[in-house]
Amino acid sequence: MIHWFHMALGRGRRLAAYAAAELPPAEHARVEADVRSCPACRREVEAYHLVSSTLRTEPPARMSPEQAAAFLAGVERRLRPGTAALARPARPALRELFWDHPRLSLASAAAAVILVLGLTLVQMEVWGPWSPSVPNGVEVVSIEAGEDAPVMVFQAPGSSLKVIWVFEKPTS
Amino acid sequence: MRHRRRPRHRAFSGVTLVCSLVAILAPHASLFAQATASLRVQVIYAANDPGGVDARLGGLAAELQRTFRYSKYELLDSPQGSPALNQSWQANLPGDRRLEITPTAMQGGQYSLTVRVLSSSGQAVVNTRVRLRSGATVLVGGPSHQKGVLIIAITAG
Repeated sequence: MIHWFHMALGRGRRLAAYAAAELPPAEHARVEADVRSCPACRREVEAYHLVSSTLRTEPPARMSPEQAAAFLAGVERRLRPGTAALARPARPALRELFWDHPRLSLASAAAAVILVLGLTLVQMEVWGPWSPSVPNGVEVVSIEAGEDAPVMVFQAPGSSLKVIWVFEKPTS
Repeated sequence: MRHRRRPRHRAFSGVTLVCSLVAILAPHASLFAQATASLRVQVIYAANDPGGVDARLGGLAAELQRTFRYSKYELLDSPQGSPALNQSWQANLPGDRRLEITPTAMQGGQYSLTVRVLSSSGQAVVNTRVRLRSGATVLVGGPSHQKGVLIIAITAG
C-alpha cells in the first residue's frame, strides 16, 4: 500500500536514482529510510540493481564492417523521402481502418443489415407506427357522395370488414 | 521477384462490403421498377331472394353474412388489375356503372387508393380515399341492382 502511494507521488523515479546511487546524500538517506519501511520498494530497488548489473555484464553487440554498411544503407533507404515507409501516413486512413480490419468491416456490415432490416420492417408496417385503431388494416381517409345519396362507414360487430355504404335511391 | 501476398481478410472485407450494398438495395428494388398495385375486386349482388350464398365467394361469404342480413349473395364478376401509381384502373359494374380505382401511394405493403363508383352519366356516386394494408379488404356497397344492392369487395396487394 505504501509502495503504491510512493509510486503515485513519483517516487519510482527516485527509487531508480537511489538504486543507481545518483541521489544527493541527504536525499539518498531519506529514500533509504523509506525503502527500509517499505518491502515493495525494497524489491523494486533490488530489481533495478539486477537489471543494471545484467546490462553491465552483457557483452556489447558487434557487427562486421559489411553488416554495419548494409545496416546503415537500409536505414538510409528507409529515411529517403518518397519511399513507401514515409508515404504511409502516421495515422491509419479511414480506408485502412475499415479495409484492413475484418472485424470492424464485419461489424459495420452487420450494423448496416440491421438498420436496413429495421427500416424495411417499419416501411412494411410489420413493426412500426401502423395506427392501432385500424386492426383490420383498413382506414377510410375521406369520403364524398353524390347529392341525395347519404353515405356511412361502419363495421359490424364480430366482422373484420369495413363497409362504405351508399344509400342510393332504388332505380325501378 | 517479390510477391506480396494479398491478405485473406481483405477479400473478406470486400465480400462484406458487397453484401452490405446488396442488403441495403435489395428491399428497395421496387424503387427501380415501376410500382404497381395488385387489385382484386369481387362484385356481389345481395338481395333478400332465395338463392343462398355463392360458393365462389369463399371466406368472404361468412363475413358478408355476419355484416348484412341478406339471404342471397351472388358473385357477379371478379375483375383484377395491376395499375401503376397514379394511374386509374376501371372495371364495369352492372347497370352501366363503372368502378375506378387509382393507387395514389404504395409503401411497404400499404396502399392508398382513391375509389370511385361512377354512374352511367359519369357522375361519382361515391368518391373515397382508403388506406389498405396488403391483403385487407374494404367493401363499398349500396348501389341498387335489380331487387337488391351491389356490394363491391376491394382487396389490394
